[in-house]
Amino acid sequence: MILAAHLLLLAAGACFFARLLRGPSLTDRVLSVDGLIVCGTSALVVQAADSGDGTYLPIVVVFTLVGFIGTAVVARFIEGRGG
Amino acid sequence: MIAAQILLVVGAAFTLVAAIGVNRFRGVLERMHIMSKASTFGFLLVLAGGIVALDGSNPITFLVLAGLLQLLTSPVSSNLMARATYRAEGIATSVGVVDELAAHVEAIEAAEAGHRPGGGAGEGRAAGASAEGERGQEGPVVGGDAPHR
Repeated sequence: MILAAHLLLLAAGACFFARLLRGPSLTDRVLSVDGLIVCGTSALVVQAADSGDGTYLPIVVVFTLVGFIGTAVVARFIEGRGG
Repeated sequence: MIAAQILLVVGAAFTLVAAIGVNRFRGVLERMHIMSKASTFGFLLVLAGGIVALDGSNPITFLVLAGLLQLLTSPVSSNLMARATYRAEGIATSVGVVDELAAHVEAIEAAEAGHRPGGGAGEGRAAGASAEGERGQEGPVVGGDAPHR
């Protein structure tokens, strides 16, 4: 079950990475990076639940905040650039 | 612990659904739509699985905090990205698409034009919006042909 969850997250990360390479606009790339962050943090939580060790869980909180701040900053950049 | 593993697998499956939607959908706003909902739900399910699996107050506090932050910041970042995409690139107008936001944005940009000359407006929206601005001169309200405003 844990291996299945890791494989699903790996497939999701591959799909997000494909969109990151292919995306026509900057919004798609930001969206893909956000999805990669979600995949990475989900993998951290799955690993923590498997091993019963919550040492790496603050990284999940920090990555969530960093992803939000990065998305907000790039949104301001896109809006200021005017297309 | 089978409940925790089921929650983890279902959450990972929802993240995969978001990834497939990001790859398969056509428009930028549609991709943003599937990304902001399915990935948030999948992430919350994975966090719930972690809460069920782990014991002790310290890991559960971090997981609940991560879930709360994701719930609070995901709509805000989606709104920011959608607004920036709309104002920078415009949306793809085709048959059956009514752009209700264009008149509003044009009114705001016309009001801002006195203060900030040379504000960036999308080229794809400018042709349709100028005709709509001329029609808006007849009524007392700019964009007054929208009946529900």
